[in-house]
Amino acid sequence: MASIRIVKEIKRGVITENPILILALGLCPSLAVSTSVKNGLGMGLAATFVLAFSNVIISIIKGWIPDKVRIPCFIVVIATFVSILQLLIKAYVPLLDEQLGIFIPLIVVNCIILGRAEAFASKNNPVNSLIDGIVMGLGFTVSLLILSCIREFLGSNKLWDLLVIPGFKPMTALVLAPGGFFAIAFVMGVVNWVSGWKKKEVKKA
Amino acid sequence: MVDMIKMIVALTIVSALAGLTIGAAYDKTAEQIAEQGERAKREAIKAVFPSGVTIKEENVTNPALPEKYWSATSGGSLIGYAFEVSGKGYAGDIKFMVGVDQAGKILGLTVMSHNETPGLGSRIGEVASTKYIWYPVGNDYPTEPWFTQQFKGLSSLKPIGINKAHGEWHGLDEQKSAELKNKNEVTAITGSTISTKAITKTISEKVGGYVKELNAR
Repeated sequence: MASIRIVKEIKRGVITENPILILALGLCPSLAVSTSVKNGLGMGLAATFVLAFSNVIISIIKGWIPDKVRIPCFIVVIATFVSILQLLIKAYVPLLDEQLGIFIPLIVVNCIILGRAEAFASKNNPVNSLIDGIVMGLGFTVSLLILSCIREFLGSNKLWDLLVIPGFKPMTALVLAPGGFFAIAFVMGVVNWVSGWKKKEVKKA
Repeated sequence: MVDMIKMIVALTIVSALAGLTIGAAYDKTAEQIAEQGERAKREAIKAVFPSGVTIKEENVTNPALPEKYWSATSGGSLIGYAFEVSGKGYAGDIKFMVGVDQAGKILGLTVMSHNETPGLGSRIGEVASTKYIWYPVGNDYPTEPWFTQQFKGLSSLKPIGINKAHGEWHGLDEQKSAELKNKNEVTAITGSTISTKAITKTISEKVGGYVKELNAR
């Protein structure tokens, strides 16, 4: 029973409600950091961490926050979490700070986090909110990995900083901002196309 | 009215708690963060000098010089100086350490902190890979970023030019890189000329002046 639920939740976060490709949330940080696989993974994991914890805290305090000021309160909670994370990483894991340091402040403005706080954590209990945070973070990470694989390979002929095809001349435009739009549009197009098939099959049956 | 007071109270409590938590976290980590910064600085100074030199911290009150710089000696003779400088990059300051000899020749350069765009300007610290994903073992792996490596041997007394004709430095053959060295030029990072310029400009504007000032004394 429990394992079925886990598979179902992961499917929801990664496929049916994928934050970037289906819900189209958090596109700015995705465009900014999907230039290489290492950056994409780092941002994905850092955002997952903040998402899970802010979801839990928001679902705990949701009861006594008046409706009209809930958004500022959520933002304060998220920003607090990000600041603490940044201080802890700087102090105890300087190597990680070198890799991730520039992305961490970006997490505050990631609308996935506020989006999930508003859409899920403010209506559900802490345990479900934690699960939602983790699977949504996973979906975010997976989409960033797909995007960054395409962009790093076509844009710099590399994957995880390793060269791929000898002699292949990479298209630098793909690691620049316009390339981000191309890659995201392409992947979203493929996702819509594939989900279009499924709908047709259902109609036939 | 009651609603409004409720909102004010809730927002005040949340903000106060958030402030207290961040304050506590800062208090707990401040010392450790400062220590990490000191350690990074020591390593940066070591990295911009040849190995085996004795490094001494110098404190001066000359307005034409930074308050603090470092000198390196080997067997009693002066090898050069290291300066911590910063220049305006694409997003905030790029802080870096430069080692120069008395003739103004750059001995080494290490980027210490920056906020440049990930994947573009952040490549000032990128190590150029020569390994292929199909056989990732075997080949020598460079440990020094190619971008800072190309500054070695250039003069800080003359302006450093930016060359965009040949692509990035890590892809050049020996003849072309020697040609760039003769012209006192570096190659730009593709798509991040501003980050590149921040470093070349800072070197000729600040470091060159420091060397002249120290030699004049």
